[in-house]
Amino acid sequence: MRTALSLYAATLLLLLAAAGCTDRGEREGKSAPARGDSLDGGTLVVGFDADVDALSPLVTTTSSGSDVYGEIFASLVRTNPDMATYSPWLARSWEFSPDHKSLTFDLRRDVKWHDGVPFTAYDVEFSIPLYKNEQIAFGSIRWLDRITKVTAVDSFTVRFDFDSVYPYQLTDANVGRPLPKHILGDVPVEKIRNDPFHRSPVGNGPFRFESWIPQQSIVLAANDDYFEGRPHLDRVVFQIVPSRTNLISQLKTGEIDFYPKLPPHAYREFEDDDRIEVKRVPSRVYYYLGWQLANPLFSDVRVRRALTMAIDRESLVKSLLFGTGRVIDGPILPFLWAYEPDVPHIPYDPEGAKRLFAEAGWTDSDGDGWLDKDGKRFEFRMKTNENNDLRKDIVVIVQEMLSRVGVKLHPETVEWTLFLEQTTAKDFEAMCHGWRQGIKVDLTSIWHSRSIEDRYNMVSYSNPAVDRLIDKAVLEKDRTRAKKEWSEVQKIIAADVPYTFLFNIDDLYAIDRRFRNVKLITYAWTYNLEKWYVPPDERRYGDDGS
Amino acid sequence: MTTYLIRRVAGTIPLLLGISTLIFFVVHLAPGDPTSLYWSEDTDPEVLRLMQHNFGFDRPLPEQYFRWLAGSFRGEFGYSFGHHRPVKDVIRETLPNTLILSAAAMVLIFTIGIAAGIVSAVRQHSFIDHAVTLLSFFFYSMPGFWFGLMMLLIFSYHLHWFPASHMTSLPFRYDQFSFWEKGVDRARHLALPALTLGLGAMAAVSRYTRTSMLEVIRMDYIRTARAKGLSEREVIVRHAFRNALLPVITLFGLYLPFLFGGAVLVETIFAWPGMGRVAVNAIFQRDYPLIMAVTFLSAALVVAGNLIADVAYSWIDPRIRRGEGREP
Repeated sequence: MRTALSLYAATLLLLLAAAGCTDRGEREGKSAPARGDSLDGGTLVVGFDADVDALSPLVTTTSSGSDVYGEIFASLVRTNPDMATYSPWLARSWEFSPDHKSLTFDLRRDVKWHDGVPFTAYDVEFSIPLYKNEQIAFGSIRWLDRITKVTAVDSFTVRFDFDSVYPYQLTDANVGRPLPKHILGDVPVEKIRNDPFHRSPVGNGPFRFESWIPQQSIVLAANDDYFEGRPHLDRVVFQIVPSRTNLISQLKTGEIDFYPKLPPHAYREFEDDDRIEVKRVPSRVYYYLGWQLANPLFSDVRVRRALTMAIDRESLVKSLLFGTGRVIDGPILPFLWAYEPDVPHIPYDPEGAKRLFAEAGWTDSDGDGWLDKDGKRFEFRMKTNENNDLRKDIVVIVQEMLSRVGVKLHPETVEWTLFLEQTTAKDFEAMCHGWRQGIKVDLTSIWHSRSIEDRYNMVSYSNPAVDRLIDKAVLEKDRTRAKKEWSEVQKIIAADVPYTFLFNIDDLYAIDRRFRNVKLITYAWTYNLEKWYVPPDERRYGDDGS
Repeated sequence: MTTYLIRRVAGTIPLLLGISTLIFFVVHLAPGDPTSLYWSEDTDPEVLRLMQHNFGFDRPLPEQYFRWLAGSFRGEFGYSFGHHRPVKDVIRETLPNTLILSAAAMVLIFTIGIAAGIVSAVRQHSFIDHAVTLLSFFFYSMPGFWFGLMMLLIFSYHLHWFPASHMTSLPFRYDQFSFWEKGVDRARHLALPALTLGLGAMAAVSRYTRTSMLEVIRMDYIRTARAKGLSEREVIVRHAFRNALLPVITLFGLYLPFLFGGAVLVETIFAWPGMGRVAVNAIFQRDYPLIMAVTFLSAALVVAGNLIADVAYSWIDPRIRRGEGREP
């Protein structure tokens, strides 16, 4: 599911690599070690459990694919770890016009594509229309809707014109990473999607593409001419090993140095390991139980509250995630600037739940152990998808927890694509599902009543106050005011309990301790990959690859 | 013989056509949608509809079918949705790998399996016969996924004898190997997957061979051969073995599809870049053009396997050859 959910990641993840403000001096100034610096050298072997679909920002949809192309292609600006501010990258600086409807980037003069051709504003001017082209169907195409025109003012100045003013103009201008016009310029648009370029890309980022043997490995090599200084590592190899057991075993034998998706159950295995360190980073993913509000069974907020009180979420985190996660109560995760910690928390309280059910008219009147009302028993089916053991486990445990308060849950697992189809069509009573949160704070597509019809408000949640606040907050350029509005929205949603929010999971990264200066952040693990290094005496493969 | 061959080959054409039609409609009737791969909070459902349109999934099913059929006659299997490139490129890359793996397994199955069966039969009730029998039953009853993991654990993780995954060492190292080193490297990578894939069938073949040999050995003509004063070796190899081989040959045709099924599992465990893995992913992603091509090819290989078995059969058994002209 994570792969599927991560289009988002696909686009944004990669913008990633952002230098924090504090890092900036280091990035641009004193660091940038010359070739031959003792830090330069060594190979990082990354374990992936699935092959990527492509290696270009234009068509790649898998999150692992975007992890890789994000090292090959730079974007205009870097997203900082706070996911709210930006640092220079291909652009040295940027400036809005007085009416805030156009945004002008001043580009670096010293950037070259990996084939030696200089990167210019004309590449940007060429790329954005491709991302906007419906025939190509770039995953985040709607982000570009409000960009009306991109103009290269001169070789190193490019201007984006917008049809309106809103808080995420810079984010949207940055979503399509520049592509080389001198390579793709002559390809007819209808052929672009299947052009070989996406499998052997020429970029302008810290690493250049070396080889890709499908289903086996992808090799990137350091770009000696990288404009911010050569990355320390000579090579980054992505080994594709679909079996997790095999992957973990290779991690233990040292054939793989870094595994970015360690499953929670393997976390303990490495706790006292001398060689492998497991780093925990809060992810952008949360799990929830969604109640179909259009179903009379769940239309009463007291019932949804009681269901939540009957579920011991802390124990789910402990038993299923081995503690590598945290219970959440609202729709925005802590890593985002708009996060409101002070939303109503619903405690685990099965007795209280029973009282609340009784208040709503649900009692065990016939003494069969199950709640009933007007002769109807409190029972429903909860859907989740095949191929996600965590969700299936959640449903079974929740089934057991609810049975203790007299509610009968029938688990139902459906194959993934079918699950999406059915849940999007609101064909469910309850479901166990997850979201990967975007970096743009926007609750419209999931919580606005407008989104019931054709977007992702699958539980049919509708609250006019929430609609009003969302509509206001998405246009609010002042972050302090926006934060207030988002806080309000989070509190209302938490109190309405359309979901039983379960938990935010941690990404677990297993890495060989030979690698130093590894900074992993929620935004993406590749954040400072070009700064990772291995001390010379701990390198595995010689400079010649032997 | 030639007429027989022509007739058998011609018979496969309507068969394959029927198979492809059936697969096409069954695959498309299954619920689910290829664009769900791109589903996320940030993807506008409209983008998904756009993709469906661009890929032609919104056209009527019969139209899609005839497009596909026309394409496949030209050797064009369309574009893979999940791989962003022509299906034939994906197949060209992965099919040889699956064939290498299956061929290696086949060789193991029939050489070791037959040899073990013969030894077992000739030395019936000896220690070696009991040992082979016991091992055969053990290997035969082990599920492939468990067996694969055990092989991995023992020979790769603990003993470090064989690499755990992939067809070669890391590409930048492999490229610097000499010709022989490359061969050894590949063989080492092939060992565990081929063994895992082949052991179960190998055990079965040894059982079949043993039974069949025991039967033949008791025949009159074997007694005659011995009475003629032929050496025991000649009796076994020239007279008994060739006749005992007949039922075993049938197994060849039967095992080919079986190996393809098993390869999916083995390819996943040992990260072998074959067609099986591609097929499974394609099914989960509803990558219709790729599913069609892969299933069709597998069907074709199965048909081919049976054909080869039949031909081999007629080659070994003159009675079948003489039957040509009549209904086969």
